Amino acid sequence: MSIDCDANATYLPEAELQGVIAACLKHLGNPSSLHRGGQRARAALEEARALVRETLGASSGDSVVFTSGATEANNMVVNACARLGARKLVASAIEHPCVLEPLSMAGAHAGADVVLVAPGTGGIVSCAGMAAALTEDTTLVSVMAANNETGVVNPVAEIARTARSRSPQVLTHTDAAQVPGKGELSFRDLGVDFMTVSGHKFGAPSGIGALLIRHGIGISPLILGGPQEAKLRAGTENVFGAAAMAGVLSRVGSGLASRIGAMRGARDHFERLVRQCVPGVIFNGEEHPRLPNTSSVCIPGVRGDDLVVALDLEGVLASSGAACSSGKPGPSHVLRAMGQPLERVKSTIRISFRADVRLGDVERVVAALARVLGRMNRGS
Amino acid sequence: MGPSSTSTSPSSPTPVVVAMSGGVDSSVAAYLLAKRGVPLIGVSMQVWDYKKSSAENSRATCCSPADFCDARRVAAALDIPYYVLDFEATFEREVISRFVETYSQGLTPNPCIDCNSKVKFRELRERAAGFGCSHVATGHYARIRPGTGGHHLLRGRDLEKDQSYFLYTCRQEELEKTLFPVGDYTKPEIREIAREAGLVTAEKAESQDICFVAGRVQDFVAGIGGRKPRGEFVTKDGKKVGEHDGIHGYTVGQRRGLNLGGSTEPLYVVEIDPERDRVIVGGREDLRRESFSVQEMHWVAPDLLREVALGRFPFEREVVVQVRSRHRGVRALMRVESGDRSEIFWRDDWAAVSPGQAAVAYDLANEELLAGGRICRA
Repeated sequence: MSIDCDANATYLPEAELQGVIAACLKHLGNPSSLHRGGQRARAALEEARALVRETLGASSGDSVVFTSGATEANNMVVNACARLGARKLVASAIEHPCVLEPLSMAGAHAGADVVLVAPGTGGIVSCAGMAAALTEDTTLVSVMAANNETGVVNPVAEIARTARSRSPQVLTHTDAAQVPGKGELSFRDLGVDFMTVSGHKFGAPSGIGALLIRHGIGISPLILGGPQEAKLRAGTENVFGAAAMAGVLSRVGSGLASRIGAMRGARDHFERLVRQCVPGVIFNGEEHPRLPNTSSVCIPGVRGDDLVVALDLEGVLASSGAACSSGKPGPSHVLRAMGQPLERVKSTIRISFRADVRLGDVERVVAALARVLGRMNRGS
Repeated sequence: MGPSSTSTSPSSPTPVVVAMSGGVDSSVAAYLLAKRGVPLIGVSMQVWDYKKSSAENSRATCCSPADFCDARRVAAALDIPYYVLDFEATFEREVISRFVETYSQGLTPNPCIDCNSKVKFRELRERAAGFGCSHVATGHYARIRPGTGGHHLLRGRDLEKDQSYFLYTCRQEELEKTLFPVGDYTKPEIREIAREAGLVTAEKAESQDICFVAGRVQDFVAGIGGRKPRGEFVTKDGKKVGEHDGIHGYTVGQRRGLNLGGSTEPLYVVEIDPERDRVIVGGREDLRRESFSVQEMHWVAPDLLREVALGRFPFEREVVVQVRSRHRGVRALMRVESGDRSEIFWRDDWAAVSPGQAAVAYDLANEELLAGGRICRA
């Protein structure tokens, strides 16, 4: 039985969450149908929307648009801003490719001025670091709430406030895909105009996500067709996914404190043990607030991609850089943006624990790591 | 205890890394080992980013993403773990750079040999150790036999497919920890095994030539930043008979593809002059050399290794010498001058040799690989 230390890739639902998901399988109707079957689906969809709105700390006037996931939601925000004739789009350089790629497209085809701000060496996107880029002509600021690789939590609220004080017309966006189930998340407190979440990152199925839009903010759709989702996202609604995501989100939200405690306990135990047995180990971003479950582990002289393979063979599921289509990992753009040399980037793996991890599992992970490192020819 | 190194070794609890290109040979190599109960870890080696070499009309090469997809499906069917490992840095340094550099010197490179020695049988083995594996298996058509005093490297049973020529850099300690499961079979047998096993790669076409070059060598070399030295075809007495668009891709002994008219007898490349970007052409007799030198020798056969270790140079051996991949070998006398160098004297027949190419010596039965090295310029 493998130990899943790759929760940031996809959070597989615990038995309890599986039950929540299974209970939503009855919601397979089409909300656009006029008959009672359709009405039940419509009711379930709107109930899910209200639950997501409430659980994520949005106000009653704020919109929740269900999407296929964070990638679609992020594309929607960037593309809409680019189409509005945005002049200056600012983002951190450690955003997910589903923000960076549409930005790059906006720069190339819509003539927007795209500014990517590097984080500090510890991986944090600070307000001070962003300040120079936040000028009066800035039309969009996008900073992720927590980074998927390092787990470092960014001061999104402060950045949004600063951006708004400099540029009255600015729109602010945060990709919060990594936060639900691992940290407090309130749309209202962050004070942004757009926020993205993704179901499979906290135990709901993949294929469902949501974009939260602050009351009064207009946005154009990415996908055209029928009038679903207030004409913001055409296509028959994924009622099952929306209901499952809302149910799971609500469930992980209510048990958040104990989940955070379990994850933090495991992660801190892991880092303590690794520090004892792996000389020279570096934990990226440990000096900053981090998601409680994430450890970005750099072991100089070791190939991270091989380490992930060797750990897999030992029954430990971890990850290195972003996976490409062939399955070969490329060097992490996040660690590169943090100013790390390529050698160090290639020596880094990510361990991201689940909430149901046991301390005994953590010890088995460290023992496996020690065995593997013993076999690898370190530093040669 | 690891598995014994014969290609028919019994099963063993130590996992073996099997290099899977996505072709039928390595698929069957994995299948044969899996059938014997050898625990396996399937690995595809990402050696080259095919986007780098503008492969417009991308011909069937191996190790492309589509091939890895096939390898992954075979691994899944065999229920073995499978990973794509990145070898691009080593491949670029040890294979591509040397390939370009060798052509620029007017010599003929042999990238498959460099890939085997530096990538497959060195780096893959080192990295496999990190996965708890000491043995590496590949789909090469060659055989390894343990014997008194060491391991013997033999031609594959299918002489049409034999790939031992590319393996002369294998050291004893590598042979000891290498498995060539398909070496005891013929290609038709391998296809039949693949069909019977229902492997998705059973009917795949042979990969051709150099895996990382999808078009012409000249275009590849120019495409990755090498110069493209246009120049002239000249005869031995300096008469210009045509123009070429780069000495890269021409090989001494080459007859096809020169596109030179106006001569009654067939013209061959007899020399390449990188200084003046000239390709010198002549008749077949102009290629004839009584003897040639071979350097960067690798000694493979155990008794020859011992004799070289004694250091009593020179000494001589009657051998069969193969001078390119599709050559059947010609009788010769090998005079071993040093641990690094030999002189080859043709006996009754001869073959055109291309400086830079490998010359590989086999025993008189033309079965056991004894030694190999690179052919020097005359």
